[in-house]
Amino acid sequence: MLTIALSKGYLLPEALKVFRQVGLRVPEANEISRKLEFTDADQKCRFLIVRPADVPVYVEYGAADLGVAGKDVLIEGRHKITELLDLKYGYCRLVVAARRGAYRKDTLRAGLRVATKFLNSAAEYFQEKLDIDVELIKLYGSVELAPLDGLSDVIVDLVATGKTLQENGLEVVDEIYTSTARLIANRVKAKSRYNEMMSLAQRIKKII
Amino acid sequence: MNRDLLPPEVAARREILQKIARLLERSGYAEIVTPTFEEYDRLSAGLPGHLQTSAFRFFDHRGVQMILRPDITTQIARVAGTRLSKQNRPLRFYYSGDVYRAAQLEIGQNHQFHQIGVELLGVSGARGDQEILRLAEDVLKTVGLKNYRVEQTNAGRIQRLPAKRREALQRQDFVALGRLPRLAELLSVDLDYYTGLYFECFVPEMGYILGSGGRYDNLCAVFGRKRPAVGFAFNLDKLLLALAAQRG
Repeated sequence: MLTIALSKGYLLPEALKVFRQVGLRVPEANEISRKLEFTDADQKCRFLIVRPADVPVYVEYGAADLGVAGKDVLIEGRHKITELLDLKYGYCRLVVAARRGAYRKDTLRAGLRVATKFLNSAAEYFQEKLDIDVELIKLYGSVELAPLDGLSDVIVDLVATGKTLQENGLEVVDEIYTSTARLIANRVKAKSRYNEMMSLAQRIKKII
Repeated sequence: MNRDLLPPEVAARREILQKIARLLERSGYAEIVTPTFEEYDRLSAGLPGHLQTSAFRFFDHRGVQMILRPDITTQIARVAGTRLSKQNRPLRFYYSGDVYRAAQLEIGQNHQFHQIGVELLGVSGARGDQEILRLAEDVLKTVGLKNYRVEQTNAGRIQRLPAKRREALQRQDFVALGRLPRLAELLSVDLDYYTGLYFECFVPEMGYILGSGGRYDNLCAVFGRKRPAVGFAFNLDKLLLALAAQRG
């Protein structure tokens, strides 16, 4: 039996749909409620429901053989995992955003204060792509608030539709990367349980 | 972290090591013992990047920089290039000893761990490769493992891939490559080190590589004499874990 880690939250229904489409009898997201672990009706796969950023951790350590995680989480976390498939849902962009009219890409300057949940991605962008020193502030949520209250000059955050930015008077200054959901595998289990894993991955590949 | 080994475990370790050592002796390999620490400058040129940055280093009483060996292969290459530089026949060595790493440890790996392995110096190409592959399988059989797998790939061939594809492969990013992996593509080859054959040994019960090896024809030249070289090393802790997992 393969163990598969899935992200709790708004992407869970989409992930369950993928496994339903390849013939696994899994419950609907709202039926799972508080259960953190379940198996499909035919006992073929065991699923773990964890925080999005924890999916690659479960996979890296082999507590899960496979996982479904956003590319944003994979880029930020830099875990040693194998990336098998782009599942093509959960599209979003990591962007630099600021108050409307405050900055353009070419006016981003050294000394900026940057609020973000994505410290690694933000550091890499400012250091390696723009080559400017900035002050990074780690936040855990409501990042859009930071420029409004003067906590930071700009933010680096995920944007799906752009509505939240708009509602808070912010606009996109630059795009750092785009992200979709990925099927990932533990590096050693991918070898030692190759046939089992690849037959599932092949079936998923056909439906995306 | 490091840990103490207590009597029942120590006996189990000794038993496995003795079985492997007997096999290696019978196969024509002679034991070599190298120092646990030595001058950093004497060894550093032959250490692949990831071992240089993950080794413990310290200064001795004279202020000379020392290194606690992060692997034994490099030391054997040094011996072959210096004291044994006049030897023209193939050299067959095995070793059994602790190595030390401060960083870049695999999951569950201690800073100090025991490796047992072989080096075959002076036999190039497929003949040397086959001898070493067969010997690695014999080790797995001798310790009593079942359903073991030895998977191989070729570092030289990966080295010759276009840069973009090679880098995606090194990152294990098959989304970038646009297809699902073949089994051989899942092996994590150190391209700075291996020049040809590379292989890994594992069992289905375990999320660990039990041992790995391959051809590293560029190493010996660093220590003064060019020699083709191929070998492998097994991690004793992981062999024990795999045996325990199979016994249930």
